[in-house]
Amino acid sequence: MKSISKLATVTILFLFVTISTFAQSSKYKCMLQMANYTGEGAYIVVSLIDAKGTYEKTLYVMGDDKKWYNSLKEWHKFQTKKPSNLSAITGASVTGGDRSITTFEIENAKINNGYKLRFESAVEDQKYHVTDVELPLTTEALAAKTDGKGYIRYVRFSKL
Amino acid sequence: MKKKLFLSFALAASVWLNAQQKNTLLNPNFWKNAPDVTAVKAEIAKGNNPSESNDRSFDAVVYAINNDAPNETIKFLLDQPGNSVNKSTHDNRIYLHWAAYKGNAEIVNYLIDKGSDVNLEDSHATTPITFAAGVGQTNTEVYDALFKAGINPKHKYRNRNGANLLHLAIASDKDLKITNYLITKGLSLKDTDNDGNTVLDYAAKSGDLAFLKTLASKGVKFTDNAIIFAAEGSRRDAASLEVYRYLVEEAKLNPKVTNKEGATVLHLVANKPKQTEVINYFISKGVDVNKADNSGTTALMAAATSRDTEALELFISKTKDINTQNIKGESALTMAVKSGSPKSVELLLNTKANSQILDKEGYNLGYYLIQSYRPQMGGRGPENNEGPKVDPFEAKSDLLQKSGLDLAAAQKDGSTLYHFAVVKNDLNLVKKLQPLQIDVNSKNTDGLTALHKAAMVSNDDQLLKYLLSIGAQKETKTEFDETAYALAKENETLTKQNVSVEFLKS
Repeated sequence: MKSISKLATVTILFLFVTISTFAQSSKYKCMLQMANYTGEGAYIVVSLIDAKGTYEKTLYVMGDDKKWYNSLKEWHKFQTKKPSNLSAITGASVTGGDRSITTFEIENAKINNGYKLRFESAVEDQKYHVTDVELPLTTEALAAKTDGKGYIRYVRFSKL
Repeated sequence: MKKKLFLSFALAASVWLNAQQKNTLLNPNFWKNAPDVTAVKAEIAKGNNPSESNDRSFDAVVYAINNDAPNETIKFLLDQPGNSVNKSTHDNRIYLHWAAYKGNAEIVNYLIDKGSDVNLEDSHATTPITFAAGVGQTNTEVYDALFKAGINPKHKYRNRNGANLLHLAIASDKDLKITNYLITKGLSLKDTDNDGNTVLDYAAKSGDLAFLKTLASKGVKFTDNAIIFAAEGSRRDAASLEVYRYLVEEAKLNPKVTNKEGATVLHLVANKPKQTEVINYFISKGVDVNKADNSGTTALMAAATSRDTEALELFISKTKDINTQNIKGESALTMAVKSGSPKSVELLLNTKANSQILDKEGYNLGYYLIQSYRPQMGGRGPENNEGPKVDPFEAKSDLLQKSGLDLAAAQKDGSTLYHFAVVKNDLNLVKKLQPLQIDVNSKNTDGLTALHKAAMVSNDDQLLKYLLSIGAQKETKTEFDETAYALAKENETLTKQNVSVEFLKS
């Protein structure tokens, strides 16, 4: 009897842990449509920004040549101070007018909780946009289309 | 044959002519004779814009500063509307960067007085003073002016791994003029950066043995990293074997040292010309030829990107597995297709390199073939010093097909070479694909056809009309329910230039 209850506790605990791991984050498909600027392919980094406005996590990097990373100045400071492994979340840089469709994971607890998604962009020999697109991480904003201020025409999301 | 030659000459000439600026103030030749204010005014009166920038973001002020135009001319140009002191130019540099780099103290002071930002970082995280120090600018008045404007001489530059001005200047400061000056400002030959690299390590970049010996005699110490600095060298130079022998045998440094990226000396010299002696020396000292750096790249892969095949041939003979792939899934052959010469591609294929290799994204070498395409710049193709002129794109394409790669097949994500080529926005490249018989209407997994892509990225209607002429269908919709017509309507470049896209309407 005792052992059965012990087993039950362990099983429940195990189930709980499994479920909470599954429920922790959701995958989002992000469609990023570039404006038709002239110049080289843009380097873009997508970051999770906390309520205080500081970088918390890098979600995606478009552009794989590290020598250009310092052109994404604000993010680069964060990445230098707290280096994270980017290899699994790095894709190609995006040309003017082209679009990039990527998926990334966002923890559910971050949604509707004061967080923001920031799209920072840089193009060789051209202006750097620290907040080309910045949207509040809310259910509402994720359902809408957000226009960019720099090289990005707009971004839109769909939950997978 | 004659006709072909003539045509390519005509093409080269027209490219060259196009490259000439219409705005005389952006023509480097105009600046060769140090024009005075009157000469510049005359050009402006003819309608040449003094604040226009060329496609590399150089403007008249930058040309004037870099060509040592009279300071009156520079000041006159700075007074023109659109040339404010913090205007972003090539590599995001401001005028203060260029004036400091040229050692023009009068203009440096003038710009600072006008409110120039002495701390502004360019796209390589270089500030005006580190730009000047990095090229060994010897006019100390420039440094005086910048220190007076608030720069701390002892600052450790975060983006330069904590190096200070002495570290940055030393490799080009053979007579120690700047070094001695900086010592009076509180810097020391004993200073180290965040990794403990010494001034002498930085000096090893110069590859100058006598200079290194002089510094060592002053009691400055080396670390093992001096070998890395010597191997990295400056952009053009490569250190000689004598320098490495001195570092390994006399300074007793570890020949197997690796940099932060895990690269050995072999990785660093692999794409430089004439390194056989150096490579053999380090192999004899126990450096592992097959060692991969942190990104999985081997010296063989690095050598495959070189124009020169000497190092590649040597590494091929010493490599265990010629098909090793790095983290991105690139092999030596991938590297050769992407940025090496057709000769390197051929060498690797002849030594059983796998032409069917896929990268991490599932792309085959066809993708890299498209990435290798460079519009010929006035005949200055990568092959111009290798005998008869061949089109490297076509040469590589032929080699890959002969080795059995099907360039017409779709990639894992449904993309065809048309998808990749269209994004390069170059009709010549797209036309080169015609003999491959690729299905132009193939959709990738993002639901896009080549025509959709072309509608998004085109600068004019040529590429779109060409795709229609080879059978692209207008009706196909993206997964967001857009037709090529709808996408072209959103294309700002086409709208701005009033290019009609009505022919895309189905």
